[in-house]
Amino acid sequence: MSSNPEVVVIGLGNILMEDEGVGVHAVRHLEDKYRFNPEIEIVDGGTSGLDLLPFFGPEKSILLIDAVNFNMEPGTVASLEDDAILAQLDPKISLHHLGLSDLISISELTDRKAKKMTLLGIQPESMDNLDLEMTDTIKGIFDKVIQNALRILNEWGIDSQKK
Amino acid sequence: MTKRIVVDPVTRIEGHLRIDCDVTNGQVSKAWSSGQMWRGIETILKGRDPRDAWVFTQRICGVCTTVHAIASVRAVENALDMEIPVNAQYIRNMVIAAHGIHDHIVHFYHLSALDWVDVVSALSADPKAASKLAQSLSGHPNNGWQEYKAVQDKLKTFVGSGQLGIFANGYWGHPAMKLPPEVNLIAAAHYLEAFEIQRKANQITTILGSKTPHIQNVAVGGVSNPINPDSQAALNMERLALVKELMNQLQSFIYNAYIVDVCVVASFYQDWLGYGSGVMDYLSVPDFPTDSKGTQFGTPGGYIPGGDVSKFKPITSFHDNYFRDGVKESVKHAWYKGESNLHPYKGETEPNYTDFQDNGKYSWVKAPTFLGKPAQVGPLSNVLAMYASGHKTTQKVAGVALGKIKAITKSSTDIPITVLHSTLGRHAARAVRCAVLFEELEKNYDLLINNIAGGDMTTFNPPVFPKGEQQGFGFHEAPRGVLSHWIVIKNGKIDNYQAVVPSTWNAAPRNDNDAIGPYEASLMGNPIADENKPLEVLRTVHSFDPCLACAIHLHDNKGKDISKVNVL
Repeated sequence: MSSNPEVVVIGLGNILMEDEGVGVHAVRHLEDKYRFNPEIEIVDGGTSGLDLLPFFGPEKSILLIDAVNFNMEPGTVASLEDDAILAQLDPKISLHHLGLSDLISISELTDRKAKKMTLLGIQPESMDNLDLEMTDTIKGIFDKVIQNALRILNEWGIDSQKK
Repeated sequence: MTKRIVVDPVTRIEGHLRIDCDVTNGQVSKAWSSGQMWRGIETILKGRDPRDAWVFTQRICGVCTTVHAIASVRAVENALDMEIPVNAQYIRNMVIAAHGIHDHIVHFYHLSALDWVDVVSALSADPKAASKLAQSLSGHPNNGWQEYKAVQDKLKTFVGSGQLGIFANGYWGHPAMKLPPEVNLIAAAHYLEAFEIQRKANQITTILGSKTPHIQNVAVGGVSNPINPDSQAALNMERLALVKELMNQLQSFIYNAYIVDVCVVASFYQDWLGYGSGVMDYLSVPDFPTDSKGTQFGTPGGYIPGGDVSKFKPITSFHDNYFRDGVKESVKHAWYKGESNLHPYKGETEPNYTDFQDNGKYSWVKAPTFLGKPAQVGPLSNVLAMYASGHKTTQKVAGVALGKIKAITKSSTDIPITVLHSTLGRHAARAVRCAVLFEELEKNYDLLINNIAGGDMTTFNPPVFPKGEQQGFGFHEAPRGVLSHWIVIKNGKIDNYQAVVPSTWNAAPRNDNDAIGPYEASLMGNPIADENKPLEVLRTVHSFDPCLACAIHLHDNKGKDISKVNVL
């Protein structure tokens, strides 16, 4: 907590609900398997909303990884950038008391809007059951999620190295 | 004439809740509360090591992470009949207090203030008049007219940009909105300030809990924080000093903004001190234990039947049989099969979805009962219990709040404590409880510092799991009320696990005797000015601070403008 890295990777989701947890599984994998230079902050955001506000700020570049309903094939990996994230996500559908779209609005309202923000979204196959395991479909594209996260970080000037 | 209105989903809450009301002659005549999410944490926990349960239970919900961790370790400690070091109690107590303060402030300002405060009206306020009014109400430091002007300009830019964002679901200009523009502006300013304040409360949790949103320092048997006043890697004096500094910043906001703002809202909406009482059998549990066994508590709790504080019966220890034997869960009107009215140790969670049936099954939420009846839980229940027990700070702060309402409304008679049995009474009780939580935070801080100074650094007693079967329960007076976890351990592994969460009590459907649950009862008789914009329903339901076990939060694409999505 002493250093204050500019690049923050936040994984969102509920690991108790199959593919819903893909974002959290992805950041845990990044934390366990890779070293980053310069240092980045990796956050297991769970299903939190407002608790994530401290990680926002005008000097921050934020990569969010989460299950997103793009109405596409399960396993589709896609990204959204900056203002398109807010424009694209329906605030009413967020079942959170304050969801990601609210969090982004609040970051603007409290002068904490991030310099740069990318949402790396994964179309889930199933999140209807209480199960810690993701579906085979999402396990099958998990490496693609990781590689895309590393690529985006690389574009932001972060080198990664396997531990 | 009766008309059915359906609010689905109720927004600005945690989780997915549907409320149906029959409205007859402009008033709610029947109500149904339907939780739309399935719960069954035991399917994941069965067969696991009881020491790990809290790691999973704190993922049940995005906001209440801390509380499920605490209730879980208490349940296992109860099953093993353990004592835990007092340092661990103090540290847990501080985490609980900081989390509760954070939660109460966020609930009032960010989840429910917009039911009463019209942000658009604040744009037409006179900042100088707002400043003068605010200064007459309290000595809050940010009360200058320049500050109010700055807030107003910011809101104008935000609303003008067309991106209403968090304000998008408000009912602006609704006939039931009654605050003058200046009061709306003061409330909007505190709404913004509360974002910073809640962050400070959260920072205390982070320092003590090692991390947020999911704390990492709890353990069955204590906490995993090593205490060493001189070590950089441990809970040291530098970190504790930072906690103290953050605490000081919370105090002013609680007393000069939060409590005052609730009183101002109550004064302008006095009729809402008359609506929304509902179930008046109140249940709360004691918390902030200061001994190793859990028999001495900072905040009392217990049962108050029929809203009569003279009949208060206290719950007195973590092993209290009155509480343990009083709790059952009915599934007659919930989408589960199997026997109804089971004790949580025997609880089952076999789904049986039937569609929404007015007189049959209509909710994923079970109906918990205490002594066979529905019970209301939450800060109001807790405050009434503390009041009944003669808890000094509760009596003092409640008196200050009622006096403030009397002064603002220029009432010739005293405002009685019975106004708390209402929609706005629940908000007032939450503000009073927030001041009590602050006192507990300070108290446990001092207890910890003094105990460390006395040379006691112990924070953990290792648990031992005997062969055979043990049962245990752990309760916690969480921000939304009584939370209890129930565990059955067999040969060191989890055999059954049930969490009876606060919103299960309050959002309960009808029970085995068809008695309506607290949300349902509280909606009866509420006025509905506009059936297409049932703001009044939201006011009453939000006053409970609903939290429907947040199992899912998937982000949904609006399905338009797909060109902005880069498929990879």
